[in-house]
Amino acid sequence: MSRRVLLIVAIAILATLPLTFGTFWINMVITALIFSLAVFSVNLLTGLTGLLSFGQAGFVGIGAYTLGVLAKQGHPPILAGLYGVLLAMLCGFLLGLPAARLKGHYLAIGTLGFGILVYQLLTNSVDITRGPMGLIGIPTGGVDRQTWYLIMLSVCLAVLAALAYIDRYSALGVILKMVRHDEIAAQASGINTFAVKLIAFTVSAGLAGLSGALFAAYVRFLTPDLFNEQESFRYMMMAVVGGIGSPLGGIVASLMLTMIPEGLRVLGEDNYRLLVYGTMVLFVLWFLPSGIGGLIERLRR
Amino acid sequence: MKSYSAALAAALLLIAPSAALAQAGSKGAVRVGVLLPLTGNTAWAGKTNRIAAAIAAEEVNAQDLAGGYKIELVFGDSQCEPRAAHDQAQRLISQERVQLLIGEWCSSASIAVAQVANDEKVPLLVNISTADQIAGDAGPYAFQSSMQNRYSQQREAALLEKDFKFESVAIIVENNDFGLTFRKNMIALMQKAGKKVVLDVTQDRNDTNWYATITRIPASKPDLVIVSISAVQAANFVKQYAEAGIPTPLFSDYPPPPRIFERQVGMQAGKIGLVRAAFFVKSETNTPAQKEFVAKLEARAQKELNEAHDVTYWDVASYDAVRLVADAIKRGGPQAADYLKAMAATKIDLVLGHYEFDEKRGAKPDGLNFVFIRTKPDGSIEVVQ
Amino acid sequence: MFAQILINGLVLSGGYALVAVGLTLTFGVMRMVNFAEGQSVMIGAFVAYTTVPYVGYVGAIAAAMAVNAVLGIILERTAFRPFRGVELNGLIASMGMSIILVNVAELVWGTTPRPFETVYNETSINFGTVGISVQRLICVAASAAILLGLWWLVQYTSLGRKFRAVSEDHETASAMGIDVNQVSRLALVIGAMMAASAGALTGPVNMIAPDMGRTEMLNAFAAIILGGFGNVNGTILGALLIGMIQSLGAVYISNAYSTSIAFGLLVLTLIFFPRGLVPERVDENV
Repeated sequence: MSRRVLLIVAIAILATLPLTFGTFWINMVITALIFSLAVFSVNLLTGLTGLLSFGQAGFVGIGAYTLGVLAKQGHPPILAGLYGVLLAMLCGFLLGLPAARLKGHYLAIGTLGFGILVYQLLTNSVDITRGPMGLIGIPTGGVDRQTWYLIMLSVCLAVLAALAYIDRYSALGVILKMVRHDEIAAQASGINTFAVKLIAFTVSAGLAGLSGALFAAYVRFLTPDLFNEQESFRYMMMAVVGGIGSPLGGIVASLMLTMIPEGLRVLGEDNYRLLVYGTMVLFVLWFLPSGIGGLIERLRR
Repeated sequence: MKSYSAALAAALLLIAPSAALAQAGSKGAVRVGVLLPLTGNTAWAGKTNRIAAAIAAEEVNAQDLAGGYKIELVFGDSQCEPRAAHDQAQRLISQERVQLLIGEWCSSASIAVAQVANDEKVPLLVNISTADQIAGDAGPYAFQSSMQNRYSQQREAALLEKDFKFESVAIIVENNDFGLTFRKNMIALMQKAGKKVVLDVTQDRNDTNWYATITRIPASKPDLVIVSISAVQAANFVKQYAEAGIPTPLFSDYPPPPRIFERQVGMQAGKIGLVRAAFFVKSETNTPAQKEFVAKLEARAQKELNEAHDVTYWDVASYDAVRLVADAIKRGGPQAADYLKAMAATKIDLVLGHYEFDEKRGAKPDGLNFVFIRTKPDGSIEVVQ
Repeated sequence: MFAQILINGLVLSGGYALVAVGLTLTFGVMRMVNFAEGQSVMIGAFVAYTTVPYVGYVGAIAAAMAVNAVLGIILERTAFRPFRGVELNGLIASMGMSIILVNVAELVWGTTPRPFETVYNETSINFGTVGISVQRLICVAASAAILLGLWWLVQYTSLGRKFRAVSEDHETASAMGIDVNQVSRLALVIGAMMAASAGALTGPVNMIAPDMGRTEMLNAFAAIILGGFGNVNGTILGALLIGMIQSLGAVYISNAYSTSIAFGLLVLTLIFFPRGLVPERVDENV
């Protein structure tokens, strides 16, 4: 009973407190929450199902550019966003077909290759995406920052809840985790591991695409540089620092790794603050092997 | 009576100048945000741009060039990266409360800043990015004081037709916004002039290996090779071109920073007789205003960064931008609507030349400095016009 | 033109091979991909650049290797050893180190790209229509020599045998009395030294800048997939293949998609050979 009250109070605080922040910090929080959807996609794919992917930025880019291009052509943005997510899921499915047969590091580099391919396609398809000239003025304005925050908060909490449900209460979660732990045993139990992996790829790609679509709708400009392989590495980094199996840790890590470099600007506008950032990541990994999520779990007990 | 009015006149004459002096800065300070890459891989340019802008602000305040307002510059480090530029523009507007913006260096970052400027209704002056129509596309709050790519490319085509004898041409570009617009514009201009394009290559801008491309040149036998490759990559290309010993003349669009470029690949560039376009280079043909600026900046850079610095176009553009902003404030005040009207009516001579804006808020190119330089075999450069 | 393409491909392959071999060594003993490898190359290039005026080019290469040996030890302790068994964390830790190294380099050397000048850059050797600068010739020759040395080390020395044992199964190796930590450390040191030589040799070909490490690694990754993780010989062949394909692809297919060509081929290979062209000898425990 008291747990539920705590939860409601927590959500109430989350929903109202940041609205008192200045514009700049609200902007940071919103961006971090959009990022965290991409991190969730990593949690689902790598944390739950054990599939390494360094190409998530590709799906984010697909979602973002679909919304951007279609919205600029006059389509209603929500529909454009939906198409973005669907296209990302389709690509996830297509990538999963060959990728589901790959193991570990081969999978990692194969997905990296996919991410690079998407990035180069976005850059070179100038007629559609305007390539390096970028897209500007995506017509999704008119929503103020407070509303954006509440939208993102709701979306993230919903996805968080869904992932928690899958993880703890559903048969799908059990199956995904079996595939991660011991694929051969899973197959021996009659599970079609290929289909399971395909599902994981598709859904996680959809999540990443959603992150991209929301990003495009929020910042309203796009350039291909936003979706290069460095971004994929960043999502992976946030996911691991947050605890690869913990979406809650993922949100916290996303918030931390977005806001702390900003806060570190007091150290001056040069390289020292990035040095501190890199060292922080190392420290978390050394002392919190299960990431922030693991810390949260321990505190909970 | 006479002596009384004379005394009054004398008194007024005495009071007036001191009143004017008291006016300077008396209308308060205007905070102007400047976005530059201060860390990251373009920081070598951003750091001196910052000094140039600071010099301009000091002059404006000392000589009251902003109609009674004091200019206060607030710098943001956008790292030439769209996400950082977006966040920094937000920070400057909401936390630092700047009323006006200047920036950025890289086109992809400028796009981000332009979007923020229009959303937040803060006037922006894009002073370095030369991508076509940034101001036009971005909306009514953005002006572009740098010469856009298509204008510089028109001038280049004119020079090529005048000074180079060629019937066939090879076009090699990077896939960034300079390269792609250069390719599009040049192909059109070449076809109009009746020249044949025998080789047309677009290379990934992260790929430093130009050997493959260079290998194709002798095979296609052009009379002239024209390229649009930026900064570091340009140096890579020139090095590799010289090494390949290809006798075909080479012309380059995007100006790698003069002097730095010469220090890096001067000998190779001289060996192949590279001719390239530049917005600005320090030489005897500089106007007095330019020479004065060069002296000021070099002294300051030596003092603050402890290294000798060769003035680049971007330094000049940063200086001019602050002066342009001050001038618009003087004529219209810092409130957005009046400021934008004043900016649109700009007619002023600054270091880079004469500034006026067209209806799409881009600078008119005719009065702005634009030169061609050839590298001599000993590695030094000369201005050709 | 074809001959020129082949030569270009060889030069590329030499550079890729040196970097890829370092990655494969690390992977063999640690089962982790070293994301700081690109920065090892960068640091090697800068150390060589800084020391050339004092000790000449050969001395500079040696100096770069020496500094990187220390770097290898540091990497092993901070980013790899603590994460045995939790390989994904090790990978991310090496990313963190990568960030640190880039920023240290920017602080020490500044961000202005610099020309790494050597006398060998000036002269070219031309056979008919085919040309290659002496510097690039040295690249190919030196890489071949270093790789040959490494191959001999792995095949015929006791250290090589220990390395292969640890690569195959580090628990059994440990049970057999091999000091796994020492072998791992040596593998990383050698890998870092390889990277240093790659930086010092290919640095003069282009400008060097603190952010040059990013793209170096991508092609090395491709080489390892083709050649097999942990397999030194295979990796060298993989690098050769990637270098050649890029060189050919850039001319006959497209320059704008050059990185994609290598990776596209890679993805294709993985579709038909999901365990790489040279499958690992590690069997799964059932």
